[in-house]
Amino acid sequence: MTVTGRFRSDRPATRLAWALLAASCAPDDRPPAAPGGGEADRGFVDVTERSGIRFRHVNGASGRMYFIETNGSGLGFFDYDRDGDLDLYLVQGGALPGYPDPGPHTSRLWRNDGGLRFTDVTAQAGCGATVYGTGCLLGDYDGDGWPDVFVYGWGSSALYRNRGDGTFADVTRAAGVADSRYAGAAAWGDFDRDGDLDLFVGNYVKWTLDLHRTCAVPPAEQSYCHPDVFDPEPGILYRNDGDGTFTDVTFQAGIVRRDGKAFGAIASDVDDDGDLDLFVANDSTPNFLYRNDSTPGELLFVDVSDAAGVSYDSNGRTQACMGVDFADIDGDLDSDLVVTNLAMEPNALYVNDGRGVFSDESHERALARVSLIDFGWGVRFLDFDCDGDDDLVVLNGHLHAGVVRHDASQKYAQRARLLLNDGRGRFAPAGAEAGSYFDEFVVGRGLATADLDDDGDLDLAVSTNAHEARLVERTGRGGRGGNRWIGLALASSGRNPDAIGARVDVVAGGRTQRRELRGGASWASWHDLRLLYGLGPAAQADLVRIRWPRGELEEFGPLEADRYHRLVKGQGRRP
Amino acid sequence: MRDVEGARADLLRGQKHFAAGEMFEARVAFEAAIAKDSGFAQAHFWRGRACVVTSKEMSYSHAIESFSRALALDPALVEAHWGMGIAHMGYADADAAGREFRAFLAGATDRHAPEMRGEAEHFLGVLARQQGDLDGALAHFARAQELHPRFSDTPYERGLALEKAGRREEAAAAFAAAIAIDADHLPSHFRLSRLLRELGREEQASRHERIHRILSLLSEDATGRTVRAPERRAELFGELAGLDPANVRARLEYARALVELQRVDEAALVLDELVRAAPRFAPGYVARAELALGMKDERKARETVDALARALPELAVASLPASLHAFLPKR
Repeated sequence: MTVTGRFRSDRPATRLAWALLAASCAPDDRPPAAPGGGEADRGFVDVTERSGIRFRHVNGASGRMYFIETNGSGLGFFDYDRDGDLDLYLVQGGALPGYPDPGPHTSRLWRNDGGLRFTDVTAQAGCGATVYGTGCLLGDYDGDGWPDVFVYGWGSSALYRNRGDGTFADVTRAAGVADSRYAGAAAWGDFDRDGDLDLFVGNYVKWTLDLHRTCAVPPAEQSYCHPDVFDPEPGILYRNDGDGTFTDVTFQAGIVRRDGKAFGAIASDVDDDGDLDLFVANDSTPNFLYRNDSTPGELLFVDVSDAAGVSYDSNGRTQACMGVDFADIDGDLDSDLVVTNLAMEPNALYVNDGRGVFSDESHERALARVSLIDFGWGVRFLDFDCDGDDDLVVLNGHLHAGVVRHDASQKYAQRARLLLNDGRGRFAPAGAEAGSYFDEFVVGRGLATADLDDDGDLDLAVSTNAHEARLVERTGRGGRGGNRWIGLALASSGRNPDAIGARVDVVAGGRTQRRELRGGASWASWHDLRLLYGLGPAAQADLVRIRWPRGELEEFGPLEADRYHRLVKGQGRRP
Repeated sequence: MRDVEGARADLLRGQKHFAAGEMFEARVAFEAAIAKDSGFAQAHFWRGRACVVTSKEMSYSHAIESFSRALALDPALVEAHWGMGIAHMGYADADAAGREFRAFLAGATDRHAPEMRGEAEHFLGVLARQQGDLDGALAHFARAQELHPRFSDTPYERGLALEKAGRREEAAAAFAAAIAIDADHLPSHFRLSRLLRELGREEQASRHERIHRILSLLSEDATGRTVRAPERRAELFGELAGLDPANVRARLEYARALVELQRVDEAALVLDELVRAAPRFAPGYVARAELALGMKDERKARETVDALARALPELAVASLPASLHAFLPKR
């Protein structure tokens, strides 16, 4: 079954190339990169200037220390015009009382013109949300093949349907997702496996201008209050009704906890039973893990947070959780979890025993020490050196501009970190190979990744609070130090054409790597939906095994290394 | 111009604040002492201590700076190594912390408080455990417990080492020992509940799990985490006191929440029972006497203060607020 392509494979040249190749899979239209060759590898390098991207986040601060102003905002990559390259959506904050420029300050869409150059097309596209935004989801909720934009935040959410002609329609109210509560996280996922994407919105705290207050940082300074000062705001689960509308099914679906302050949300099949479970990272309240017991068309979750060992850290304490990501860090084919935290609380690494029971091994796996003084936000597992295990990028930035007055080890703007996996799930900071970007200080918030130049590595986009967004290129072409890679773009039928929620195993060189295709991760951000695997020295993936979102199994391969392949549901082999 | 006497007076003032738990006032007094005599090593040392204690406001770097200065001025002030070790622990800098604690223990004598030496041994144990040296860790914890037997973190950490070594029954006993010292020891309730569940003792596990959850909801810190509604506080502290009658703080806070809710008769019953069950817990007497005073029952207030003076003669005056001093029995 062929589904309209979404990436470079849509180009005529690619269609021709497909015809010449086996029907089960197809490389894209780029010439293959020489293994280990190409341009010099200088790690991650800031290319914002030459990209043309000029975006300054407006947090609306005027010295009144409104709680929300220090929290935003996220960003994401998606191919909104389906021209084969990834465009960038940057979520904006907004004006607050006392801020001199009333705006409007809108989220912005930057079109990728190729060559890592971007143009602001917000006005013509009509998706410049005026929401005081936290983050965005950029999935295709109506299954028409064109990715849509959902922005969540304070005061309102906004859903823009992609018309397919380069413009968007605001369908927030018609779709039934208008909500004024303060949302801190969201995720798309086909939780009931009925073929379309349902929506979880994790709310943060009850906050309005009337509830505003400041808190003292002893001995005398006024600052932002801790979220403990505000009451939690429960989250919402929307069932996609398949006709462009959603129904709030929160309670009947078992999303019953009301004591969380959600600042991160991510879906993963943590217990390997074939459906997407939902993890909610809460700020200074226990985290939630909802086990998915849904049947097709009927959403049902069970709170297993405590039994699964993710409510608290290893000492039984809550943490100020924010960014989230899952990956198989130790090669045992299950989803391990990283959660970023406040400064003086280490980032947490919860290791899965394969049955969906986790243990906090942040200290044992050396993540605690390297992250203790950082104030972590966006986070992403990626294979920096293509050696077949997932390394970790963490974006940092403090809340308080004056933090250095209290602690010289803390800075408002902080360095991001690249931590390398030793292959057994222990992490250590990368050295100079990480690149000059990791010497930059930013007030980091959202972190999104995409392979913008299709060279087999992930480039970064970084959003900040009250500062400029940054675009960061992973330089070097081809494998790292001779290591090879493979990229997979999935295409499915029906109302989830991107196959969000699919699980993909790649077998190469005698080892298997597992990834899931996520509908939202990091902090408030959205990544390139293609899956990248480092293969080490292997010249091919011997086998690619896909479990599609509704559970069908299919195999592809062998597939050549150092290129992208588009895998279409129904064109592989049944195992 | 140096003002040695003025600096000394400020130091004493700061130490009084420190002993009273008024850390920011203490820090201001120590800084005043340093302003009067910048070469006053003790003032730098005490400022460092105040910075460590206020570390929730992120002042470890100031602490390190102060301890370094104290040592530069007086290398014999080995307790500054102890302070430095604790500050480095705050940054999870194991190498530096280990170096400082070892330097402190090498130079420490009997004139240094055993609690201080016990803490140094404790943290060396933590570092050894984190590095996988479980035998070394247990040896440090044994010495730490000998020196500072009331430090609940030591049996807790010992429990973690024992758990890691697969000695689960001993680990459970160690967590229980931490709870016996400090009924509110949240991490011990957490680990003990998980361990008891693994050991098949479901009922005990559930009890500790519930206590952990309540403590987690009630934990207060400088960020303002409090359960603000007195109804909810009464509910949680009441349940906690029921689950763990040995937790005198829970019983006291339960009574206070009841007072806030104007349920004074119930509060009086809770406090009477607390005083009976925990005759060496001065805050119980104080709360009961204050409640009596609030209920215009001077006779009961006098009786309670009198009972305090008999039970804890050495603490009676210091424990009582000024409003109750008049009820102290005449000597």
